[in-house]
Amino acid sequence: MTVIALEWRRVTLDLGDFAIRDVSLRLAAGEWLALVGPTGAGKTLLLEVAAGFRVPTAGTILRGDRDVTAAPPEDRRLAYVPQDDLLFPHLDVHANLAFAVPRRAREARRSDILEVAAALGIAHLLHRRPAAISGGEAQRVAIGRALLANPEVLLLDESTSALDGDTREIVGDFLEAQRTRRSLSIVQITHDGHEAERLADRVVIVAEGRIVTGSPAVPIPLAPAARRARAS
Amino acid sequence: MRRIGFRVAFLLALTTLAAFVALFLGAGFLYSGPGRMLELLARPAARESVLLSLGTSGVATALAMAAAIPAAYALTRWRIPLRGAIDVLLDLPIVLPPLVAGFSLLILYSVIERAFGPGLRGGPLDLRFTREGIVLAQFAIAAPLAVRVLRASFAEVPVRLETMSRSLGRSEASTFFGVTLPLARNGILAGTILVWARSVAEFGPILVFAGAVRGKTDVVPIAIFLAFSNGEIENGVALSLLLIGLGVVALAGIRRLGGRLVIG
Repeated sequence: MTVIALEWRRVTLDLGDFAIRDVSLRLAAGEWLALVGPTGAGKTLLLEVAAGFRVPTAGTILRGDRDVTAAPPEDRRLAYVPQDDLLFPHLDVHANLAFAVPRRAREARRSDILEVAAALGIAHLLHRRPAAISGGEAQRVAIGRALLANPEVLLLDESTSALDGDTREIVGDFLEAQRTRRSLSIVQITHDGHEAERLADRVVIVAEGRIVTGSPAVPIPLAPAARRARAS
Repeated sequence: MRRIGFRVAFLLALTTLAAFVALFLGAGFLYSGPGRMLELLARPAARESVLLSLGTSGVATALAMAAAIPAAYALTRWRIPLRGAIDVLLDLPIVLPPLVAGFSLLILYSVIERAFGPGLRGGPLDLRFTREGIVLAQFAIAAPLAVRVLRASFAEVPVRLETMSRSLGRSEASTFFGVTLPLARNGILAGTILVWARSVAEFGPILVFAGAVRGKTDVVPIAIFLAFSNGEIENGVALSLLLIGLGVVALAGIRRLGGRLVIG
């Protein structure tokens, strides 16, 4: 039986000018799901509702079998990497990374922080403030910080859009390794079809606030390219 | 030509207004020489007034900020029943004549005595016509002003950063101390200076609630009032210039912190 990590059950979010309507979608434990679709389709709103940034007008958000619709963000074990407002501007890169680690565990997890920074190629930026790094570097810091929170589900909103092709591949491979190591489930919004095909188990298309294709319950078989990449 | 005339008219208004304010505030400097002013300010009575003002306004500001920081945050971020009404209520002491605030404090004591008997009178909680009463009168205006200023500071902190902090596992309280307060720091410091400057300059509520007793409740504004009432014009001018100087220092501090005066 498939274990469900995250589920949107008949979720509606009405913002007046725009709404996502009656969306149902499931993310299996350990699955990598890509959300694609035109700008303004409601993809970000789906992630924000799941992360607790917004409360749905109707419907339910489930983490496993727990209803977290009204739960505060800190009780969801989800880490969300948004498109903007990525980093805390008053903290340097190291403090941003360490922010997700409980104070009492920081010394013990010091090597984790350095390991993540090295893997994402941001180790040389640790003492810089967010204002002094590029957009792509900020995205990598935000991804590293989210991973250091030890989430069960990672929500990525175009989180590699500012990276060049090679770096995007390195970050993708690192996330894939983390997924395997931690049984992490990932939902990624992307406009990069190649990236979606390479990394995701399943691609769901969102348009005008609705799921256009993609089964809400049954994972679509792995794309051939991704299957090959994973087997190698 | 028409464009130049438009600009000249506006700049003339600005220049006239600035000159008027500079003249009436600076008149004191022309009244007596700086040496004489310093001599008057160095006298024991003036020094005691200044120390009393600094002490009471410091305590009132600390109490006002301690109450206003949580109150302003709650009003800014949370959906609270009657939020609009509470907002108006807290703004009232700022817009009412200050004398009314002092008078209302006196009436409050009368009402308490009527309800519970005269047991309060003369006890430690009876702050009428005492130095502690000065602090209460300053606090009555300073705390609502602090709430008004801090609301603007908290509103400038992006809610998304707070939610981000919580999605990384931090509690609401931890987010407040780790994200909100540091990001609102400059606004809070500028607000503290503004509230302190207002407390130092407070007069009406102190006059009514704490009285104007030389050597006891004569903070600088009260001392100025007493000096002018008794014909000691030079003393009054010297103390007025001191308050103007403190105002200049406070405004410079606020500007340096990038704060804005949000009162209305």
